Amino acid sequence: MRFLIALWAGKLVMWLVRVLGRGKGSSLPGMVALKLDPQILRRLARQPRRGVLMTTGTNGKTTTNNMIARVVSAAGYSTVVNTEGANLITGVTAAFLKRATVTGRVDCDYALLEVDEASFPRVTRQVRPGIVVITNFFRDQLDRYGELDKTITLIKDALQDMPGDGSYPGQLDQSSLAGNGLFADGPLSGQPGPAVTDASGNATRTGKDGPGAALPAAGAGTDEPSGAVHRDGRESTVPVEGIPCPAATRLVLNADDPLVAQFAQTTGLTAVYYGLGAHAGVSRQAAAAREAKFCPRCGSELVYAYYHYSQLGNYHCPGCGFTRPEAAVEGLEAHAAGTAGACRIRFPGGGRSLVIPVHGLYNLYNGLAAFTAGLLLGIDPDTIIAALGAYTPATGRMERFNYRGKKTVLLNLVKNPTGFNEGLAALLAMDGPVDVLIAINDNDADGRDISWLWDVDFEVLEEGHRPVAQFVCTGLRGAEMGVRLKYAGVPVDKIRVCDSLTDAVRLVLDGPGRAACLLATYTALWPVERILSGYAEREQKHVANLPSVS
Amino acid sequence: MLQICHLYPDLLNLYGDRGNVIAFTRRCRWRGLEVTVRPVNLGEKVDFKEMDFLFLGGGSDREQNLMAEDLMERAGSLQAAVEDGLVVLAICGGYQLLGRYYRTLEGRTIPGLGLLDFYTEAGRKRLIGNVAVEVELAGEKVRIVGFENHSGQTVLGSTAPLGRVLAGNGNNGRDGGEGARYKNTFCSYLHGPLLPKNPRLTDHLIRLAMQRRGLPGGLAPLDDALEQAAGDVMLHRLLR
Repeated sequence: MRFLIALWAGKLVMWLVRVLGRGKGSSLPGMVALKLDPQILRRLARQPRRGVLMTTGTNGKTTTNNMIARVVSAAGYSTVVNTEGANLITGVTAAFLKRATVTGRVDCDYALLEVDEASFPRVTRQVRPGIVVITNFFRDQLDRYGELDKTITLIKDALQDMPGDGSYPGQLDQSSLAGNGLFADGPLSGQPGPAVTDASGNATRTGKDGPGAALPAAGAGTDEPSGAVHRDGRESTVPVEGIPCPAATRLVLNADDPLVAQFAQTTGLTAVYYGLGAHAGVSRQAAAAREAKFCPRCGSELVYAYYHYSQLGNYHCPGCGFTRPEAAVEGLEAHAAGTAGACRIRFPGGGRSLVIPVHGLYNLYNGLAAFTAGLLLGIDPDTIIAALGAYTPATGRMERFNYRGKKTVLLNLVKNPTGFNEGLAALLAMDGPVDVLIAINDNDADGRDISWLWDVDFEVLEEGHRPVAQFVCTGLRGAEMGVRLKYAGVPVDKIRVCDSLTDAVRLVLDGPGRAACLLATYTALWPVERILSGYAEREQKHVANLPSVS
Repeated sequence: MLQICHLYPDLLNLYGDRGNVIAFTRRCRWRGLEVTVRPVNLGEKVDFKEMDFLFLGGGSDREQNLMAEDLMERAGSLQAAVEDGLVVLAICGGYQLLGRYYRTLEGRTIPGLGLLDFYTEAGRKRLIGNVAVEVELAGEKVRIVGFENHSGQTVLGSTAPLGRVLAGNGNNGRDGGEGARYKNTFCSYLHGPLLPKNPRLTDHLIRLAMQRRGLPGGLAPLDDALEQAAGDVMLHRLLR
């Protein structure tokens, strides 16, 4: 009964928020429902027939999860997805609430959840994922004071509690992957029934074409044991019976990030790696925002053959031998193709060429992660490639607009040095001249401390500012952004500080550039997007209408 | 020609504090004053006496320990340089390290370099937020702004504070002092980073460094409209 009251209250709040038009309402309903029944997520999240897939990490969670959602939907499955970047336990709960019937039934094949790094342990106490995708670890502006190490440890601990399939990940080579149940041949969980504890090896399918393999999630149909929650409503810290318990949790890891790659060994779970091979744009030099100078295992300084960006690259440790694992899914010859990213993908059993209609190397990583997850779910590679090619970015993830048919406008969220550096790289690769808007807020959700701006490599603009017609700095801390650009060596006459967001957007739209690039922190993004969409049209570009790719 | 020593840039590269070195450098170069920046990482040799400006930032616990270990071995020559009037800016963890000791919550005492007379104790509550401070530079009262984020609470002995807190916590949230100042050594909890948006403080440090090196002439004025605007945003917000 408590469950139903919480469910109805959550749904009511969801409806109220929508009717009253107060915000997007993505977390409040979950908050209310969890308050009334702290176990509600547990009961909702064990219902997806084929299991739960989670994506966590610092950058690229939203994009990766949305890409996976595209892929899974293209294969004909129904899903629950938290698509709006509402990635705390409240947002995850709200995503299920939205889908649940009034009796609390969630009718879907997969739940695809983007989970905030810091919330990961809390969410996984109620939801057991069959697959966990980890994108990367960078210091966010919110956790630049030693919190990253703590976050990584928390995720590691949460993963260590999960059941593995006993195979030692380091021993898997590519040729054995397909036959190892890692790709396509995973066990099916079938219909809801009693908790599956010994599903491994049962009921395999060829998975060559959909519907492919389900995550080995259990469909637990029974009620919660009453001892799961403390009297005062606090969550139990130990896993309790009744959690949908997949036979094995598998990891999809970014091979190029040493902070992520270490997870296979430290958690003992089976891992499949994706990564980018060397390409024309790799750097031999470390960027300023590099996080992991030191081996996560032994503390020696890592040696890199090359860097993609930040600490992503081809590394090895001279101290303990920790080295970039071979990527089962590897992107080769990565390059920009107009406003799209492209590479050739090599994977066990084949190769394909991938083109995704979003800017930036980091989006190729997101695409590779989604490709790998798709393969693990047994989805046909051609279906995956087509779905990724038709991907449309979420708000502010290199979203494209068109202003009066004459100006291409890109809108992108910036929230930490690594992401901002990549945003700058994408900006400088655009056909100039470009009008640039940078909106910096320092509200709680942005991080009140904006000193991270000084860890961004704006110094590339000292030489590279030429294609930029003007920098319009706005937001609560726009003036400070102007100072940052000045001290990076941008000529002062190109820097303009404008307090009004509307005026700032108008300035770049009507500026002399042929294109515009708008970069905004979290709380500045929505207002900028709203103003922008009043003047410019959102483009729905698919690969087919992209400029020809050579 | 001025020589800047940037201590442990590889280790302490995540707090935006390198902006202090950027600001010092730029403001010299804009005036035609030559500067070289000498990054000094763990174990690398440096003669502090030859330097004109030394910057020391802070890091997370792990980085802080590595840096403390390395600096301990240089304590003697650093002390001599400080006494000789070397211009030093130490921020947050770097600040704490120059004092007598740091006492953890468990009561363990970690010795500092002891160059300045103060100590720091771990507090239960982290002091986080924007700060405005009034400092006296060459006889003039100047308002500076920054962002503090520290759990250590510093108590000054005979050392003078850098300034008086107008808004925020400062050294310990109790006595109204922020930072410390001894000869040409300036310590502060303020990130932000401190120097770019407080150009008068930056110029004060440059002037002191020039005087010590015996370089003639004053500093040509610069157009600081942007810096002024950035500082004013915060002063208005905090002192309204």
